[in-house]
Amino acid sequence: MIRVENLHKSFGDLHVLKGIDFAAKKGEVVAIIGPSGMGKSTFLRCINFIERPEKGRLEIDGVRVDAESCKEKEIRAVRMKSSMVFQNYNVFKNKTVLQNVMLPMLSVQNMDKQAAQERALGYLEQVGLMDKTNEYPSRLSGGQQQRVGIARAMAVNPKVILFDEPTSSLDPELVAGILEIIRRLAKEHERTMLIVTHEMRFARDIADRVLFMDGGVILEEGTPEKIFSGPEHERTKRFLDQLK
Amino acid sequence: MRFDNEFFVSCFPKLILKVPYTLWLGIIAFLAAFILGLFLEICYTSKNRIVKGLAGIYISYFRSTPYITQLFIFYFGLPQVFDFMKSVTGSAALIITIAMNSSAFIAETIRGGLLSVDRGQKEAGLSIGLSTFAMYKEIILPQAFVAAFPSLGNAFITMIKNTAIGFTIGVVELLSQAKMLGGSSLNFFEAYIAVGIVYWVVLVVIDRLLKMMETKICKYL
Ligand SMILES: Nc1ncnc2c1ncn2[C@@H]1O[C@H](COP(=O)(O)OP(=O)(O)O)[C@@H](O)[C@H]1O
Ligand SMILES: [Mg+2]
Repeated sequence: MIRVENLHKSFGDLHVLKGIDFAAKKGEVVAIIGPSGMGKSTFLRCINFIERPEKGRLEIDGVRVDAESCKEKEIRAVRMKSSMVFQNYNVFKNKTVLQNVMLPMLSVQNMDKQAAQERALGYLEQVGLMDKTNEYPSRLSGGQQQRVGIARAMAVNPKVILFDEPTSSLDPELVAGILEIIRRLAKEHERTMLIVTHEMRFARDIADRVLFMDGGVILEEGTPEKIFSGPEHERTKRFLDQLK
Repeated sequence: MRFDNEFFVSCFPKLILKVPYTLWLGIIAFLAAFILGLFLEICYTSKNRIVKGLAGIYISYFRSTPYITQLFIFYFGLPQVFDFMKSVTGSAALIITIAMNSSAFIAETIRGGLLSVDRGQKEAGLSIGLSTFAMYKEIILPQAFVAAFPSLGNAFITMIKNTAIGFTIGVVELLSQAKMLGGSSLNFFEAYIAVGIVYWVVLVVIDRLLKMMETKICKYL
C-alpha cells in the first residue's frame, strides 16, 4: 500500500533523514516514537510532500514518485493519497467547521455540494462535532479544532492518514477524547495510519507495529510487545526508561 | 464681523451637489492605487535586482515628499519636459497622483495581509491537495483581505481628503466649490465652515460604513 525507499531530507547542513526504508499494508496502524528533533515530523511531512525530500522513492496505492525527478503534477497525485493531522490543528480560520471538512471534496475532488455536505456531516458525526457544524474555529476549544482536523483529513479520502503528535498541544483533559477517536479509526483498519506520538500506552494499545526513530533512521521496529517489553537497542531502551 | 446665516445655509445645497464628484475622484483613485499597489508589491518582491530597486525608489519618493509637491511636479513640472503630458487634465492628474501617493502604503498593506496567513494553514492546504489557485482563492486571499481591510479603509479616507488639494490646480471639487462661493460674495468664512461640515459628515458616514463592513467580514475572527 505504502512504500518508502531510501528517503533523504536535509535542511541546509542538517541531514535529518538519512535513508528511511519503510512499508505498510492497507489498514495497518503504525506508531512512530523517538526523541524530539530526530525527524519524525519531517518523515511524515515528506510522505505528504509538505517538505520535498532530496532523494528517495515513494509509492502509495500504485502512485509512484521519485524525489529527484518528479513534476508538480505527480506530487499532487501522490499527495492526494495521504492526508495529515497536525499538532497545531491548522484548521482554516475563515471557514466554518462544515466548510473545513467540505473543502477537500469540493475543491480537490470536484464533488457536488449536496454529496460533499452529506459526507462531511458523516465525518463530523464520527468525531462528535454535530453540534458545532456552523461555528468558526475561533469559537472552538483545541480538542474541538483537532476533531475538525481529523474529519478534514478523512474527507480527503486518503489511503494513508498521517498523525503528527495529534494530542501534544492539547490540554490534558482533552487528550483522551482525541485518542478515543483515533482508536476507533484504527480499529476500522480501513486506512493505513502512521501516528507520531508520545502517548506510549496509546501506541502500545492501538499499533500493529511500532517504529523507533533516532539519528535520522528507523533504528528499530517491531510489534508493540517487542518494542516496549524487549527492545534490542540500547538507545530504544534508554528512551523508554526515560519516559517512565 | 457679522456671520451671514442665510448665506451660510444657502451654501449647503450647492456643496452637497459636489459630494458625488469628490467621492467619485476618491473611489477611482482608490481602485487605481490598489492595482498600482498590487503591481508595486509584485515588483518589490521580485528577484530581479533592478525591478526591486526601482520599486524601492518609487516607494521612498512617494513616502518622503509632501503630496502637494508630487501633484505640482506631475501637473506643472513634467509637461514642460514631456509634451504629451500637456494634455493631461487636472482631474486626471489629481487621480493619478493621489493613487501613486497611496500605492506604496497599499503595497505594504497587501504584503501584511498576505503574511497574516500562518504557515500551518498553507501546509494544511497542501496536505488536502489544494492547487495554488485554490489555495489563494479559498484560504489566503479571503484572510488577507480581512486583515488588510481596516488599513485599506483608512487609505480610502485619506484619499478622499487629498482630493481637496485639487483646488490648487483648478479641479472643481468640494473645496474649490466653497472657495468660489466665498469669492462671489466675499463670505469666505461661512463658505469654509460649511465645506468643513460637509467633509466632516461625509467622512464620518464613510467611517461608520467601513466599521459596519468590518464587523461583517470579520465574523470569523
Ligand atoms: N523547516 C525546517 N528548517 C530547518 N530545520 C528544520 C525544519 N524542520 C525541521 N527542522 C529540523 O530538523 C530536525 C528534525 O525535526 P522534526 O522532524 O520536527 O523532529 P521530530 O518531529 O522528531 O521532533 C530538527 O533538528 C529540526 O530543528
Ligand atoms: Mg515533531
